[in-house]
Amino acid sequence: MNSLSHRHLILAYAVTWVIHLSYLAYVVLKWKAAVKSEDGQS
Amino acid sequence: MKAFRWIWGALTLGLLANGFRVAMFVVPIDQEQGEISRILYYHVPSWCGMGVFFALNLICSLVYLGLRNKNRERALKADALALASAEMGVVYCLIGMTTGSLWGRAAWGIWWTWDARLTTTLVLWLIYVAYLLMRRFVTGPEMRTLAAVVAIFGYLDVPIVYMSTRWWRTQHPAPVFFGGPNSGVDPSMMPALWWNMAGWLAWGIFVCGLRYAAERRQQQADRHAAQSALEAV
Repeated sequence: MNSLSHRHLILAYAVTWVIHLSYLAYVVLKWKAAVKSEDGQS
Repeated sequence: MKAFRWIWGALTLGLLANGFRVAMFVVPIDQEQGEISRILYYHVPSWCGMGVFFALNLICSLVYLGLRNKNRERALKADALALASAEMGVVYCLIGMTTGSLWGRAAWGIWWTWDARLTTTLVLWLIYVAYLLMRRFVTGPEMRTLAAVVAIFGYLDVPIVYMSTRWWRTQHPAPVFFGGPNSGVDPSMMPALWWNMAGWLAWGIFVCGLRYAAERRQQQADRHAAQSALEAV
């Protein structure tokens, strides 16, 4: 139970960061795409 | 604006770093559950974040519907914020379900069960994923209006999720916060909860702000493209 608790705790914190950082990366890509299409217009 | 964003980002990382320190090394472990109880400090802020951003999505959808024929520019701003907040809410909801599942496996021995809280939350997540997919794949002038209406109906599930542990007593624990005289956590756990709550909320505002800015740029690029196409005819 104890090692399972530790493993799941680490996994929960790691998963939280991975999901948040993945979404941040997606937002940055969206930002770059928007800047690129705006530059294409001008 | 750029400097403000950097300051906000640095402040957010500071809050999260301190939140992690307090959660891991300062607050005592729960007597019954042991180390696994520390998931609470990421699990609860995720649900709070979800509640805040889905509520923001509802407000922006209502503003869009109210302004779409009166003030097009403000309506488009509200629509961009509705999209950004829905995405952020979906991210928080996904994290809440995942951390809850990991906690459930260690505490109850199961990854998932079709109890009232978990089922209504999964339905809520699917509603907002469908909302985002609709925004992505439906084209035409009425897409934004349709999305705003879907968002209003989708939000009806939020109070059901919140009340589910009060209406039906199934696998999920009874409400910890605002759940009556015997509810609440030990006061020694509160600092970790507050730091992480503040940190993850600040993170959500930071990322949602970036997403909003990107969407606004995209809206302007689309408008220029449409004007150029009209001028070319």
